[in-house]
Amino acid sequence: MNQRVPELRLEHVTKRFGSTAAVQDVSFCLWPGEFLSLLGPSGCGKTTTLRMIAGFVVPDAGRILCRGQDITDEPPYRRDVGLVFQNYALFPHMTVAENVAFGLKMRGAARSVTRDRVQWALELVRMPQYGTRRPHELSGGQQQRVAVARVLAAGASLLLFDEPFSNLDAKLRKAMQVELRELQQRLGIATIHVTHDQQEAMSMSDRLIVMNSGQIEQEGTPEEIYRHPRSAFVAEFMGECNRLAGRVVGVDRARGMAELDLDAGGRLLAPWSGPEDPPERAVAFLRPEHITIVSSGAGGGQANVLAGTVRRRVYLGPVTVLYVSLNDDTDVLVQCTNSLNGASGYGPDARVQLHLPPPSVRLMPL
Amino acid sequence: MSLAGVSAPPAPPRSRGGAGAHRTGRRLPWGGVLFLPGALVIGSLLVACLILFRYSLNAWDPVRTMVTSWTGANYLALVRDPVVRRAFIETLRIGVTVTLVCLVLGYPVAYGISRSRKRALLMFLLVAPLLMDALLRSFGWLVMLGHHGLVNVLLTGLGVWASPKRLIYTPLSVIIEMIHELIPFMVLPIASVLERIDPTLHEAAMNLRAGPVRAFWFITLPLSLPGVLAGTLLTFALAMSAFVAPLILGGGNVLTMTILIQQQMLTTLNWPLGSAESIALVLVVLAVLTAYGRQARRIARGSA
Ligand SMILES: Nc1ncnc2c1ncn2[C@@H]1O[C@H](COP(=O)(O)OP(=O)(O)OP(=O)(O)O)[C@@H](O)[C@H]1O
Ligand SMILES: [Mg+2]
Repeated sequence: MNQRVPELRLEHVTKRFGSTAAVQDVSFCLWPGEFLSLLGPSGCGKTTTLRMIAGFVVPDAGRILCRGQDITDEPPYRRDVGLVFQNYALFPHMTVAENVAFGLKMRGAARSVTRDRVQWALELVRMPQYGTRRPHELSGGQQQRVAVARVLAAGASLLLFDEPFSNLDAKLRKAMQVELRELQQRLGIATIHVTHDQQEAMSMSDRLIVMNSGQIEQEGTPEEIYRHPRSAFVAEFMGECNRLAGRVVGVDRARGMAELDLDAGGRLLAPWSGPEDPPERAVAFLRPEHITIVSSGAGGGQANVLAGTVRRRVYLGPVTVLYVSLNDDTDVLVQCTNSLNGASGYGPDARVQLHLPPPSVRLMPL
Repeated sequence: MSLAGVSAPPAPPRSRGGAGAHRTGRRLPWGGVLFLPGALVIGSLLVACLILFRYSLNAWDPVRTMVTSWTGANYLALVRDPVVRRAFIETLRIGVTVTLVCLVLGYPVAYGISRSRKRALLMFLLVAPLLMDALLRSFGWLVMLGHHGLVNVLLTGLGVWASPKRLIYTPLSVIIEMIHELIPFMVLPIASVLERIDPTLHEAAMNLRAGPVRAFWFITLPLSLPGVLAGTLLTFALAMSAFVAPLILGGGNVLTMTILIQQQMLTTLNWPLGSAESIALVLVVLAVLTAYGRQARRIARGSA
């Protein structure tokens, strides 16, 4: 799909530790200037993937190419890959400026070049006046900025971040996310970012790769992945999701719709465009914000309208979340946007009718 | 006694990230009690030193031995006596040699231990020889280094030496025994500091284009200097005050300050002069340690 040479390409990369396959047959590309997030639960192989790119872990199989060149067997100190460690790994016996100059010193850069480049890098991260400080005299956010300046000054052509914000408090985390993303866009430097925080990955990335037990589940833009999850795992990992199981009772190929007889009672129409027929039993996934409350009280019988009872109501400021129990006690989350007039009026024990619009439903095999 | 000047190796600052990563220690209600044994040891050493100092100001008479008085004659004699000067130089020579050899041999050992998975076992093996009494160890070396000992038999057998050499009753044999005895005191502080260095620092250096050698030279080595400082201070202090090895393996040919003091105290029964020599030894060791410690700390700070 793309004529350009990717900044980085992984081809069928695999790594085992003993009997556990930490990374299994992973292939992806990183395009120039792109911000890519590796997202997945703990232990799914994100760090291992990153460490293979940086050269600290040697893959058992597969190839890693940097701008078309095979770097699989290059030692870490011959790669132009800047890794920002989770604990920042600043050298405690050096000043900030010496830390930032370290990579240039190792390249044998001239003194004047080093000075200019250190200054440039510290200005980029908005810390030009901190050159003479020691790392332990800096706050967490400042340490992180220095770590970024250090890999930038060293001339990395590619940035790697391993859970860069996990040591920061919530407010600073947001600020650093914005700052880092702006810096990355300004420099146009290709970046891979590892996180298990779905919000963080969505807010920062051009593209996401969702991983699960060492394998890639899905890759795409944040919107693609959120709206069209390809598996139950992705659907549930990317934010809140309702799942309703049922029996497939009919397929309308002309309209691309399947009809589901829900275990919780009621019928559900859902898009089905697969070449083969849906399986006999299937699960419908849909996001809480796509469900609307059409009316209070009992009634219905139409497709995609389900009756339930509000069990709990959680006010969250911009939105209110209702926990609605269906007939068989399955809970459905409904998220209503709060308007200027206040939150939606349904309180506990209110009888409601939910509308589940067909386009918002994703049908998947059970 | 000279150990009092050596503190535990300071922990290298860790890049833990996040402000306020400091741990706050909880105070035990009877925490002061824990200092009691230490205070007793240091206190009794201080008292011993004070008594020695008082003796060193007394006069000496061949017949009446120690005569109570207030005189500086002993210290004057000390400065004038060429035998004392030679003993001082010999002691310093042995102390410095032992410390340097222990450092050169011990650092790689400490590095290996700090990287190993069997750290506990290796530490035990390292310390195990200390369970043996110094006297026994010295006699062991006496046998090993003797005319028909293992070393001579091996080296002549392999054709390295044409004929057996005299090894015992030389400074060399004293140095060998002391290296054997003191190397754990070099290795342990270095290993414990190396162990606490965050391994990601080494990786960060490699990520910034430093090969393994340069990553060691610029990162690991400077960060391990507190351990080197503690190890060398400890080893040097112990080497300067060693007595058994010069006595057994020196066999009267190696005159260190400790031997001289022993002769003064027990053979000549000149307690005042022996006390003055003891005090002088303590002061010289303290002076060397202080000067070295200050210098080393300055270098460590500047090496960044
Ligand atoms: N050096 C190692 N030795 C043995 N097993 C390892 C090693 N490193 C990682 N593993 C295993 O490989 C798997 C993937 O680990 P990895 O650190 O890549 O996960 P991760 O996605 O980064 O998780 P987290 O979000 O918790 O950091 C885990 O099961 C882990 O136990
Ligand atoms: Mg990880």
